[in-house]
Amino acid sequence: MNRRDQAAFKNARASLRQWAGEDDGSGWTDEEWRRLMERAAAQRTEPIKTGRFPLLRPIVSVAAALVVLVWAAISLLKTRSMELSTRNTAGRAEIAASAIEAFRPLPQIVSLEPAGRDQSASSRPAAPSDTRRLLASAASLPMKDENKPAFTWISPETGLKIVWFTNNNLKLEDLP
Amino acid sequence: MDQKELELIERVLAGDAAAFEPLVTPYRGALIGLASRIVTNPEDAREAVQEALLKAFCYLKSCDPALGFRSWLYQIVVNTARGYRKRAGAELRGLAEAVSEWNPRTLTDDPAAGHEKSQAKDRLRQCLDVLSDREREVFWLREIEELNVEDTARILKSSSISVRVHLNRARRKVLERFRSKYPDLTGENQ
Repeated sequence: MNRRDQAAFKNARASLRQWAGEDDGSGWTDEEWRRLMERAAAQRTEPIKTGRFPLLRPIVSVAAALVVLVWAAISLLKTRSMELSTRNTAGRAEIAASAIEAFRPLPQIVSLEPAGRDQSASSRPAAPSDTRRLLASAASLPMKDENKPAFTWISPETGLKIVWFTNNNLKLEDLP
Repeated sequence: MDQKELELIERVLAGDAAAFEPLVTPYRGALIGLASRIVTNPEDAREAVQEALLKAFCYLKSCDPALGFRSWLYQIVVNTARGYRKRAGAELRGLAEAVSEWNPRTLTDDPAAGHEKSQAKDRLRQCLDVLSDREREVFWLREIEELNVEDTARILKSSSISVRVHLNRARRKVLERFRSKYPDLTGENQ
């Protein structure tokens, strides 16, 4: 503001003060004012509630906030671990179901004899009684012979395990 | 703080509630004037001052002698009136102004005096309408209530620099408004 502006503003301010003085106290009658004073005086004076230990208040607030945060973190971790265990249980049940499915007996069991020995026999389905006999004889075989080479075949679908024992010339041996 | 005010405060705090009236009555007009600059609706201004006075009585023990009773009281009025302004909302301001134009008391009491009051109120409003809320608060406390910058800043919970900036801006705006509306009152045409 330059000098001219300052002088003009002083005049304007004087007018504003005059108008503010004329507007002074509008909206209040003496009766209303007296009633208001009575209403105020009917109250009790009391200091602003700052508590007994005003310095402790922020510390207590921070501590409370920390407790809430820790509690929230713990409950979040708990919820997540519970979710994981539920998921694992569900996964295990799924695996078990698929295993049961895998070990279900096939409607047709192929011959357990090695291929090439009897082509016609290997292509035709074996009778259940034959299978039982074969398995029983296999069970009676010595489990391990260090001197004899053996070939093991495990069915990826059914888990069926077939062991061929050969002599030293790699020729199949007959069952005892 | 004024010695007389200090004595009155002590009397109120000692249990003499009647001492409250002489303590606040000198500010009766100023309080409503200040509240009227913050909330435009006269009813809200009255309500705000009433609430502020009840609070002032209630919490008189917390009056800071360093700030002074007047500034402390103004601070309560400013805070309470700001609460009313927030509640009223900007969209109601236009309506409140329209309502404030009609003042039945000025018609019933003394028509001539009422007309003068109404004219003064209108002129004040016209000149201060160009200011933002903060500028109006600063301008009123500094230029009309004649408080110093530090007290104004303390009442408005603001910094002295902010008060100076708002005050300069407000002065320019008010002067511009005077030049356009009341050029004779600036003394520049003489």
